[in-house]
Amino acid sequence: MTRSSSASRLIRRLLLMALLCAAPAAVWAQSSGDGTIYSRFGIGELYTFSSPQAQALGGGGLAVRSLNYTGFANPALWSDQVFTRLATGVHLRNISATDAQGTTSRLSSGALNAVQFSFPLYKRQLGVGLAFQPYSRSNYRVVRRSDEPLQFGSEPQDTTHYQINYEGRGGLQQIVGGLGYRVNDALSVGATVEVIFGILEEGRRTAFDSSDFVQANFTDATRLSGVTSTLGTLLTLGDVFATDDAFSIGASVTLPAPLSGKRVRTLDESLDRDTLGTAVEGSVTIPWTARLGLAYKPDNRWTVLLDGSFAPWSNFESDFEGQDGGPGRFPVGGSDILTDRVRTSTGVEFLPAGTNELASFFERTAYRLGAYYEQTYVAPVSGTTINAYAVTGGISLPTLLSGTRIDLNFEVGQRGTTDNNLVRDTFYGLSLNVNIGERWFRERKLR
Amino acid sequence: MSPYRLSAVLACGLLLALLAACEDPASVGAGVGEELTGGEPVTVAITPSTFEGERIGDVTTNSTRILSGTVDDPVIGQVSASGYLDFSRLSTVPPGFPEGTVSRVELRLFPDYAYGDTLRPMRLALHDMPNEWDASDLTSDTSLAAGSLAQEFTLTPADSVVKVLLPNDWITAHGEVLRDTSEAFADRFHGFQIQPVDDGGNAVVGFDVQRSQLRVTVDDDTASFAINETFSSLDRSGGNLPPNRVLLQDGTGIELSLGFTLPDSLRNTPVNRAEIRIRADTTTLNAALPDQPDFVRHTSTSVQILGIPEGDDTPVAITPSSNPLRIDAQARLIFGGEAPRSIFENELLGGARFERFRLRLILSENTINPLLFFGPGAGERAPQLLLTVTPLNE
Repeated sequence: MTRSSSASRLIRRLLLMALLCAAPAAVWAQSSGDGTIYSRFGIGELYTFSSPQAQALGGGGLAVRSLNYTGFANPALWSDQVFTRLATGVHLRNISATDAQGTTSRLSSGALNAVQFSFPLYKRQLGVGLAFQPYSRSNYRVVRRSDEPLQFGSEPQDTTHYQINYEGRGGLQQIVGGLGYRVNDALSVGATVEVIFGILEEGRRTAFDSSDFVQANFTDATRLSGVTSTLGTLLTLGDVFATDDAFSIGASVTLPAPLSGKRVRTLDESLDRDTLGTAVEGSVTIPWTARLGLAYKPDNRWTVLLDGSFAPWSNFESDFEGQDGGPGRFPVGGSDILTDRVRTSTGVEFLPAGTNELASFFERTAYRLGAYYEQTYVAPVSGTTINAYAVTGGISLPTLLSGTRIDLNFEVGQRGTTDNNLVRDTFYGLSLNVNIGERWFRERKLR
Repeated sequence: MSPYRLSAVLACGLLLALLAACEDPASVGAGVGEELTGGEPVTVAITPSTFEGERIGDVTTNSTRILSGTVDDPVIGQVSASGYLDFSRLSTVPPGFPEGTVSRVELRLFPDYAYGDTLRPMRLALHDMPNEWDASDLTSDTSLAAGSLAQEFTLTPADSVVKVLLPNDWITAHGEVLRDTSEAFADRFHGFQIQPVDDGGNAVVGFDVQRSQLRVTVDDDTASFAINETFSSLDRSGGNLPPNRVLLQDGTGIELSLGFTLPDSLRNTPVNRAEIRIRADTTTLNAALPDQPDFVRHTSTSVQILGIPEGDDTPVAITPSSNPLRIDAQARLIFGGEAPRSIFENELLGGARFERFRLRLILSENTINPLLFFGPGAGERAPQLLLTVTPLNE
């Protein structure tokens, strides 16, 4: 082993350890900025992240086997691991929200993608996956400015304008841990335990133009936590349509997740929070989710995939009732405005170099394009579903560190409609992900 | 540039470009689903439930001014003042002083304040104080027992200095005590009372304590005894205030008792701003008296606010005496800012409350200056608590 390869290995390990230590705190901070008004309903905007590769290919990836990525959409994929892997990244999104009157809000937000750590216990047979990632996010912001100034005294100059900010903050996080096991050459299975927890806040802040006034900041906060599990399977067949091709079928089901917690109304001023009324205890039940994915590799350069998922959010239950002088009911608008969630996606990846590690930089770069359609689970207006369409894509860049790639992804799409007093979001986003892989736990050769 | 560096630069550049996109949130989405409502602030004007003058007692001890005289103000009423002063033993003793003979004793007083007719002569009486007296925390409604008359004297309130010569018989009786330069002097000599004599004068005069002194001449040497203890006793009666007015007066201990009953509908409501506005009637006090063109009426403009906690009679200073509130150019006393806001918000949120407030005139020296406030029945000039709140309910 040369000194330079030892040095690069040391750098990778130090980087891995630093990210492992810092990442949980960063994910806990989750996100900043403002997003869609539809994150006000239910438990917020649901977050889906399997791997940087899957993100660029429409967000599915249930059946995509890869030595460069560990897909977290299906725990059965974890059976294929050779490298110890750490992946994380940041995601930035801009939204232009328009209503029927043509008024537009421009909003932007940033968030840390999942921090994912995986490693093989037995190479290509038994692998472990661990992740700390967002589950949902509530980050809406609506600003209403006073038409007429507030008269606060009898003198003509005793007036000031004010602004009311309706804001969503917080969301739910998820800690995932599990195993993937290869039963035989064709079949893999996997299972996870997932802890879901977090705080969803609905805030209302009245701020004044005059510095003589102290703003009033109410928050209805719902703290929830619970446990669920995902079971997955993966069937891989070779030589299906051509010699040396690979066709994979993946499926997973996430069990219903009962979450319990408290809901409380607070008055926030500076660093102090005063609780108004009493805390309300309750629980919600997140419905099950079923996923099915297909992936086809005609050779070692091309990958095509198709995925779908379904979750009966019309079965969502909540027993958080509103309280006089205290927090309102949860979720906002009640459970009746939630509808079944359907998502389909497709994508194609082209890696010119295939498995040739000695090819040029641009040949070892992967090029991806995808798309998805989603009937979201919120329907604030009865009879009108909120649908989202987007094109995704990205490039995966090789680095000097073998096994490590940098993925730059984009997403452009639209969600909602301006009919029935609703809002249409036009969004575009960028993600930057780092995917570090290295062989750990290597068996020493006897001299 | 290597392709690796190029890719890093490209990635960072794209993210920065996205970050630089400006946010411009608007009202879009307010009507989506369950409409976003509430958060509208309102201002509530609350009339005081308590607004009256209350004689609490003013501590007039050890001020730099003592008061004496009687004034009859046709609006404010009659005030009669008696001043008390005591002296410290000599710090510098001329040679031969203790053994010599006292030939002359003069009380030299320096008027620096006059309320009333400043040109009409007035007569005051100097009485011995027979017993030791302690001025600590005495309030102005206290009177001390005075002894025999030492001297009467006449002055005009506009005089710059008043020299009161003590008579020979008084000198004979007190000469030996005045020559006592030991610590026993304080136990043997207890100063004077200066009280008004009913002779037609119409003013209360204040004497500067720091400059006033007792000058004792022994042979050819004169020593000055400095004043080390003072007290002013004040008595007030009568008055003919216009309707819907409340009087505060320095020296007499009259303070404004102020209280508000907050509506139950504002419970658990945060307060964005609170302001107490009280209008002063400066017109009445500044009006000249047609039959007394030389009548000078000083007025007060500085006020301290204290709070009386519920269940406790001990007042708590809400504004410091070192930084009082002042009547502004529009004749308004305005108490605003964080202090009243947090006080009333604390009450609305169920915390501790002040049963009432007390407004006290703050002046560095003793005076009898008045301040007249419009009361709750004074229409547009009535006092108010202006609360801007953001109701919880939508």
